[in-house]
Amino acid sequence: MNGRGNIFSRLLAFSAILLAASGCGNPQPLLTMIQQDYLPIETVNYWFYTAVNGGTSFSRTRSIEMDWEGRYSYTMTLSTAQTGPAGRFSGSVAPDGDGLYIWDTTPGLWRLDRKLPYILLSEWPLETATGEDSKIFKVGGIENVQTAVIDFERCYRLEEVTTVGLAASTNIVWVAPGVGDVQYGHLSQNAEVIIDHVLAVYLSAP
Amino acid sequence: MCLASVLSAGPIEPRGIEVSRAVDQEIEQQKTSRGGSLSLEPAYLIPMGKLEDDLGAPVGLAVNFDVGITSHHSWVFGISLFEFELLKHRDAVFRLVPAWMGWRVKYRIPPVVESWWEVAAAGYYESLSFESTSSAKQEYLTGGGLIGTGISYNLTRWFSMGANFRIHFISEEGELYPMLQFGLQFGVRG
Repeated sequence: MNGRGNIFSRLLAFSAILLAASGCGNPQPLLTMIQQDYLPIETVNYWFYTAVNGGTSFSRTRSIEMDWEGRYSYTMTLSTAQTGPAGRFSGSVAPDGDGLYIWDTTPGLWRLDRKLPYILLSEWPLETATGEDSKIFKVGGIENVQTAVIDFERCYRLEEVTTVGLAASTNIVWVAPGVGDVQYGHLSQNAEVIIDHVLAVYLSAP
Repeated sequence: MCLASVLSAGPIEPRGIEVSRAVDQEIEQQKTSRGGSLSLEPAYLIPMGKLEDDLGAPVGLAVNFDVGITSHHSWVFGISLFEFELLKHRDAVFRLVPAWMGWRVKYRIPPVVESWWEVAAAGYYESLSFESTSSAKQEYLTGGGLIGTGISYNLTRWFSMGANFRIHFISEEGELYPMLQFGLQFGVRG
């Protein structure tokens, strides 16, 4: 009886250690994350972003669905022109198994803009504009985003880093599961995060 | 002299009785021995419930070690490795490494068949990475448990083979994700 008691107590102690280890040091439960949709273009069709620290508020609307140049695409319309990741997420976009493709009218091909799934510290190259030496998009971290309406947990922070000579500028977008882009910002020259736009309204497709 | 040695040798028993006694002795030895085994188990792991649409069902490998306490009970330790394909993002790989420690109850049908069931606490190492395009990796450690049953056939005194079935319950922040494991086992017996 004492032997069995010791055995069961050891088993319970081992179980307690394993359950306590759950999530230790790692913020993202992977089986939960795998099921979530960080690019819900099919389910969300309207986003409205409020400007912070000056700037102009804008909206993004998903409309036309069609087969276009080999991909099933959607048309994203912005109410006002934007720069950085917010501005690129417009026009013809096509979510695919490995990411989001955006149609580049010149030279007329699909370009990978967001690589999926989002994995911490992964990065991929983006098309550079005239004068730019390099441009990459990388998954910089996982953060909670607080807005006036709702708090979004476990958002991936995507950083677009553009290099011109020795100088680098960084635009940031925070992406929440089931919603998409919830916040835009950039890094100041002092490496301080400046929030430019915050999601105020989003509507799901009927 | 030859006749005297024959007369003093004692009664001569038929060979069939010797074999029968050897089998009886083996059966008695198995009834009382504490056993133990080390087995390799190629296995199929099937995600259930919410994960069915997100993960493929891979074939992996498990190593299982049981230490006999009595002839019917033993400690069991095991570890396995499975690599899943993400059905929606085929460039990515999800790796799962369960490691478990638990209690096994064995039933022997001597001299060749053994069935068992077990219950164990388990830890799960998870990692998500791209197959070839990036070295980035995201990891997570969590806990859970499993229950299992199996049957094996002793090919020889030392080697056995059989089949087993386990259900893993992986816990992530209060959510349970079940996975079914079907496998063969090839083992060395103690």
